[in-house]
Amino acid sequence: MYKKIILNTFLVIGLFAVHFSFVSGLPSLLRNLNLILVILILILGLGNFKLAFFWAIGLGIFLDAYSFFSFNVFLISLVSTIILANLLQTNFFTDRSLYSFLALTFFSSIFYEVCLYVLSFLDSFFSRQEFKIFWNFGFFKNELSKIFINLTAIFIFYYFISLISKNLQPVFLVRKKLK
Amino acid sequence: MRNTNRKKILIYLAVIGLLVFLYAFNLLGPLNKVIYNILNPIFSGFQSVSSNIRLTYNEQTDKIDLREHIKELENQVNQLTEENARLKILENENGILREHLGFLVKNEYNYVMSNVISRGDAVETSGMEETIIIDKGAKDGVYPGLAIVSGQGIIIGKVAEVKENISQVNLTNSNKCKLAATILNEDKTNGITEGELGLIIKMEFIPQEEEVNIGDIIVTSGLEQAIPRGLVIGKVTQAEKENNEIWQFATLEPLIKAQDLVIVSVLIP
Repeated sequence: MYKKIILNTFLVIGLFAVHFSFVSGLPSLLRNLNLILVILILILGLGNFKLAFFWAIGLGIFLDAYSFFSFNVFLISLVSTIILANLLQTNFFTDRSLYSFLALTFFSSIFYEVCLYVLSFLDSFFSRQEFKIFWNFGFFKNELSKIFINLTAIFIFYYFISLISKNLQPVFLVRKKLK
Repeated sequence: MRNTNRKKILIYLAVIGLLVFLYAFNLLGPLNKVIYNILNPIFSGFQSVSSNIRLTYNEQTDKIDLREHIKELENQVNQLTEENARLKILENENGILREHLGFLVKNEYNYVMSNVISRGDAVETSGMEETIIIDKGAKDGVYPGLAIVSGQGIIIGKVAEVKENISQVNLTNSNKCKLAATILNEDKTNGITEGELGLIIKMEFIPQEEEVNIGDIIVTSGLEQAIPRGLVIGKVTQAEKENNEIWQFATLEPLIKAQDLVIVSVLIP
């Protein structure tokens, strides 16, 4: 039990470090990758909700420690996104196909972004700071590129995992003729 | 079964509620301190690796313009060598005059060197890099409003927010970074610079009658308490003047790419 907790804590720290410090410094399109969200979707799809939920809490705590909002914007956004993804998974995307993972990532990315913007607007509203969104082509292009890079990442991860494990490989039932 | 689920949901909500409460009342401070102490050194390593990747990528994309750029730079080097010689003579002269007048030599700033540990903000609407996070904070004497400079002494941004061990910096291309500035022309025109859409820097509130030329250097004016005078912000690439406006404005080009820096200095007055 404790071994599992310690191992998960180290993995959460590792993921946070890579996302926060490494991905943010990458060139143009790559820095829009939300590695944390992509990994959480994979955990939800391949593992279980409980594990994804606690990873979301851990990652939210770390992201909030390095953010400058007056309340836990990242924690709330991540946890809400995982709850929504779980609802979608249990009600609509029940299989472990690539399409399900892509759809989950698509809806989760949109929901996470909306959540972040709404909460950061609330934060600036209560702390009486300026909050500007320029509803121009650049804004929508940037948002679309975030979704696109997340979908590409989940696509690559999916095929990588199906290569190294049997978890995602399709199962065909073949009727054999009895001799 | 339904009761167990309800109990679970309640426990989950309680955990989140507790965390929000602890964060809002800053009770997670000791935990955050431990996190900063462990993670900050790791972050600077990661950041320099990804910066190298980014630099290599940028170099590849810029290679096409490289030849023209070299020619331009050679001309600039010649001009600067001549200017440097002239300035050295002036510096000597100035030193003697200061000595005579008993002035304090003011170009020795107090500074704190820091590593860039992360770039960008989750809610940057422009998609451009407008903020960085550095590994020095209130504990090191950093507070909002201080200037952040590169190794060459070019101002790249201003401290926006501070925590005990980290600070958020708004880069000069951010619309949240406003700087009191002076154009190094004959009249030493004052104005305010501000980023626009994360792409360019604009200088506003320049009186209509002032002459602004392309290539003029813009420096900090020293009107802000925490920012010393004479830090280079950029050079003018475009000046726009319209008859029906009270003010004219100029578009600036920064002299360095703040996005590529891994180590920066915080100037403490």
